[in-house]
Amino acid sequence: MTVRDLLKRTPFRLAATFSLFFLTTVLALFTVVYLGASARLVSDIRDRVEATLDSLAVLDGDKTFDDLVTVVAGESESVRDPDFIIELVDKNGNFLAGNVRGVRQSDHWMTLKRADILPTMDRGEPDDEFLAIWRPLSKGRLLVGSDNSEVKQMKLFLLKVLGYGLLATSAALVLCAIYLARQTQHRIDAFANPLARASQGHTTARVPISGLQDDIDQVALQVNRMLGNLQRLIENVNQSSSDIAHDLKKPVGRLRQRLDDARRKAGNVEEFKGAIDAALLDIDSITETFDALLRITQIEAGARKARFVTVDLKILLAEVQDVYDIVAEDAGDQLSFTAALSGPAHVRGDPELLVQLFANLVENSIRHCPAGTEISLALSAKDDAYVIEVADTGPGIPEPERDNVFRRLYRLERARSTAGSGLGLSLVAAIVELHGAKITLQDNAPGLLAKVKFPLS
Amino acid sequence: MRILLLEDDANTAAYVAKGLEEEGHTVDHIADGRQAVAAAMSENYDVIILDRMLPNLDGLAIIKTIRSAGQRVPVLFLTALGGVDDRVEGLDAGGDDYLVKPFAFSELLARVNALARRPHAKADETRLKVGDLEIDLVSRRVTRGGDTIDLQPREFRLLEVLMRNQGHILTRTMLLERVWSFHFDPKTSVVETHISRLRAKVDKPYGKELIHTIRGSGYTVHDGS
Repeated sequence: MTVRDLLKRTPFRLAATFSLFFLTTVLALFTVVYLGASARLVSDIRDRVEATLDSLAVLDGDKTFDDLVTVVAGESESVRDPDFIIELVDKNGNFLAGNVRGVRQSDHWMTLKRADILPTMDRGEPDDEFLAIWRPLSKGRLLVGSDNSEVKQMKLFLLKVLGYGLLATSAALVLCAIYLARQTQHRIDAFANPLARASQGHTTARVPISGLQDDIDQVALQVNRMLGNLQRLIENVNQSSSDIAHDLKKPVGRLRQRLDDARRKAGNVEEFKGAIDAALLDIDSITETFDALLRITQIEAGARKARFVTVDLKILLAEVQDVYDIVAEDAGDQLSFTAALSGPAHVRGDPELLVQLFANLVENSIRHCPAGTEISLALSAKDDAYVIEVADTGPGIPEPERDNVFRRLYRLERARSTAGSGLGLSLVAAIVELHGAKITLQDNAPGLLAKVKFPLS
Repeated sequence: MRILLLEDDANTAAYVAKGLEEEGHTVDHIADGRQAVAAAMSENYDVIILDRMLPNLDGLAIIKTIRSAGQRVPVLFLTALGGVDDRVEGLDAGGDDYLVKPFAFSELLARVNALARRPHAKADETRLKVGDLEIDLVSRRVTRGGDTIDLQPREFRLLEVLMRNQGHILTRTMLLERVWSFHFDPKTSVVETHISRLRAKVDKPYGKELIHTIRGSGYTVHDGS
């Protein structure tokens, strides 16, 4: 992996940025500590020098000046290897006493090299320095300076300590960053592989969940949900496609047979006409299947929502009952409608599709139930929803089949003898979904109870 | 009748044009949208049959263009299979009727005939009469040979639609749309059942049929003379 590749990895970039920021902060902190400590050491030395000057300056005065000269001379003599320097001069700058001579005059603090002022000393480093200052007295000037080398040593020590500290911190930081970056990178890499597999068509591929329930797990859950939906959709499409092919093969085969029969056997124009009429009916039923499939697809696409208006379910259901009561009567059934609410039942919806929804349910009951069935349409309001129940006393749908019947082109075994595309309930489901409603099929003991719930708008 | 046919599919166009010409109509077939607008504006057609999807110009745009120029000629537009919104959009744009492809020729013919006589129908007519059957649209009274016949509202609406189009065939689909506002194909015999109920009240007791079934096409009302 090249550096450029590494830079493209988010966890590495994050870790690197964080490390850099942290190191800069540590460096700034160390600088402050170093500068603060140095300044403190220097000011300590200066205080010491000033204190010495103060104690000697006590002897400043007409009577005691000679004593001062004596004291300074004594101090100079007693210290053979001075870590401090002292020089007393008269008003004209002539040397009176001290362990150094001819230090240049200045009103400010001076840093003096040991080699410059104490050339004869055989101990100490020539680069050692003294911090010194002149104090004006009544009859001359007094210089006191203190060895600065402990400051230098202290500074060196500080630099060492801080340097090692910085090094240790950096090392720990880099290790930590590498660890974090790798951990995160691993989890990100764990995404890439299943996703690559999914894009190659392995719809069962899923992203691993670490169980930490963190943000990455949240994303992983979403991705898995998406992959699951994708898998279902693809299976749906595959299933639909093969179902369509299968479902169309039969009528097309029948059509071919019919035409073939007519071609071989029909003896007169009437017989040909009859065969053609039957063939046209076959084609119409094939077309109808396509039409229903396309309608379902379009309804599922949701464009119709733009045309939603306020619909009174009470009026709509009464119309459905009005259209179908004599149809049911002719089939030997009974169709009733009861509304268990006094006011209107307003929902937002597409009236055309809603009529088709309930017409389909009622027609299913009429077509799939034996004569003498009681079919009832009932409207009520329950728990923030309008509930429409279409119930019959027919054979019903066995429990394990109740979800399957909403699948496209799915037909119950016993319904195969009845004409139908196996799309009626799929269309119902699509319309229900479009309106944000829910449909469930239940046992009406005996018969089927289709329950459609519209949330109150 | 002079009919303008706008259809880019040569096979469909030939099928429609030939069928209409055999029925005695004159058909001008144009495949291009821009030429069609010019023809619709300059010529005097009785009906325009228009494909919803055309090269160069959308069928909807054509209807809108000629309508905004004041051309009132009835337009029947053909929509693709399963186009749920096409019908509403087409009618909104100013179309008068629609037909979903593929269609039976009898369906097309019935709709063209029904459309062509539209401008002549007296919209303010309140009484319709076929033979000795009479309906009053205001009092909603139905009489035959002096007897008052009691009809359900839906039966009245069915008879009214048939009587308004007397002498013309109304297909099952046309009746579903106009009487019940059903824009889908019911799986039960809704139309047949209602027609038979209507016949039982209007025709049966009087010995002479006024409501006729045209096999393979639909229904029509006429007094047979």
